Order: sequence, then C-alpha cells, then structure tokens
Amino acid sequence: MRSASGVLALLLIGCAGAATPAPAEARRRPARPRAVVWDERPVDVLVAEAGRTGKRLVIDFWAEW
Amino acid sequence: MFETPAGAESLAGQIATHVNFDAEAARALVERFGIINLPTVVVLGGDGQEIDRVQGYEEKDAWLEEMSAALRANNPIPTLEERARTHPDDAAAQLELGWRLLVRGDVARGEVLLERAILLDADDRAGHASEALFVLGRFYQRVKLDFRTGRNIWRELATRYPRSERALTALSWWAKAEAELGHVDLGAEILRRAAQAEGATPDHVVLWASYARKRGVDRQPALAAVDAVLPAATGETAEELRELREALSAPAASAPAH
Repeated sequence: MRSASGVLALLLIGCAGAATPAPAEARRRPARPRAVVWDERPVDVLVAEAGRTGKRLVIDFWAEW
Repeated sequence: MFETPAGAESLAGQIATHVNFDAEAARALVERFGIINLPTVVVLGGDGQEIDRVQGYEEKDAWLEEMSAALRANNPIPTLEERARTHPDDAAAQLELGWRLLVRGDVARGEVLLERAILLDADDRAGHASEALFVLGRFYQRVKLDFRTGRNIWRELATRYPRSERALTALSWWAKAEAELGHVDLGAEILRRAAQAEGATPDHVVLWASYARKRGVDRQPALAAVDAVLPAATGETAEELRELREALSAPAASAPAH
C-alpha cells in the first residue's frame, strides 16, 4: 500500500520547486496538488479540534499487504 | 489512494490522520471504530460521532466519489432506523442498519438485526445472509480477536452457503481461526477437503497451498494439487499457482509460522 520511503518521496515532491509564482501566473495555473499532511496527534485531541473548528475528522486505517 | 493528488485533494479543509492497522498501538482504535475491512476511512463529525465510512478499494474514481459523499454526508442512522422499522421483512434494511450499529459499538442491536437479515434471506438468494455472516465473522475475528466465535461463523458461512461468492474467503478465515486456536493441522484439513471436494476450483487449491506454505504443513500434497490444476488455470490464479509451486518446491523453512 504505502511505505515510509513512499511518504518521504511525496514530502520531497511537495517541497520541490517552491518558488512563488507572480499573481497573474498563479491565477492561470491550477492549484498544485499537495500530498496529505497527516495530523499525528492523538485521536481524542483531533476529535476535540474537529468540535472546535466544525471540520470533519478523517481517520484512514491501512495495512501493508 | 491518499498519496495521489486526487486523494490528497479529497481531504482539503478536513482534519486527517492515519492508523497502521497492524501496529500494536492501533488495537484500541481498531476496536473503538470496529474496523472490519481494510482499508477503511472513517469520517467523524465535530461531536466525535461517526458520520460515514468508506470500506475497501477497487477503482479510483468510484472510491473518490464514495469519499466525497462520505465527507458531505449526514449521519445515516436515523434514516436507516426508520427504514428498518417500516420494512421489518426487508433483509437489506436490517443488514444495512445492523452492520453500521455493530461497528459503532452497539453490538447487541447490531447482532439482532444481522441475525434477522440471515433469517429473512435464509436461502441467500439476495446474498444478504452470507453478507451478514461475513460481517459478523470479521467483527469477531478481526476486531474482537475472538477466534472461537469467528471460527463458528466462518464454518457456518462456508458450509451453509458454499456457492456464495464469500464462501472461498470464509474457508480461508475458518482455517486461519483454527490455526490461531492452535489447530494448525485442522486448518490444513479444512482447506485440503475443500480443494479435493467435488466442484472445487483452482482457487481452492491456491488457498490450501498458501496455507501450506505459510504454516509449514501439507507441503507435498498441496504441491501435488498445484501441479494437477496448473495446466488448466488461467490469469491471476495461474500466476499465484506458479508462485506457490516454486515456494513449495523449495526446502521447507526450519521454523514454520504457526
């Protein structure tokens, strides 16, 4: 499914070429897809934050195959 | 899926975390959220209550659509409660509410609804009875780690509905439960008998041979069965059989994984 090296690669891709485009250029370009930034805090802390912010909390249960 | 741009974008504006199912520290969360399938994405509202979940993954677009719907959904339980109440003889309605309550921790009500789905679709014509057993089996074996109850459920599914599309998986889980209970040879016998039964397919041999390889039992007879069915096998099954043939032909590992 995914590996630590895969996650690292995604982080590196996300950091590459970080020069800020000029405003007009930015308007022409579609938003750059970003890798998910997982929140590693305990689930109960995240539940409380979801309650405060009105956001939804998504928990991805995965396993190596 | 979340490593892809589309998957990552689907979570924009939400709080997101991930849990490795197999990590020891994850057990409490697996039980708390009743994770019966992998992968599973659970969506919670601000009150900490589950709103919806996306289980399994087969195809990218369908998964993204399901994910998007789950993020926009309202808690379906009130609607499902009403449907189950007004359609008491509808097996699908009992099944849908039953599995959702079960994984949310309302085991007593969930079980009753699932048992009713089995009763209402006793011949499994609509596949609801086998699905209800499948849910119960995974819940007890994967979530509760109750291998004795799991074993009984898988045995019922495999023997009562042998033509169900879930029968093959049930055999595999049944054998695995026996192995977990310390009955490794019995697990092998279950799969051997299924592979040698009338109507058995090469996939039954794949199950038996995979178990033989993993558990270090029945290696020679399973290898002979692989050789017997390999010439007629096609596609992924043939590929798996070739791989198993190679593994079973090699000298056995000194410490089989019991």
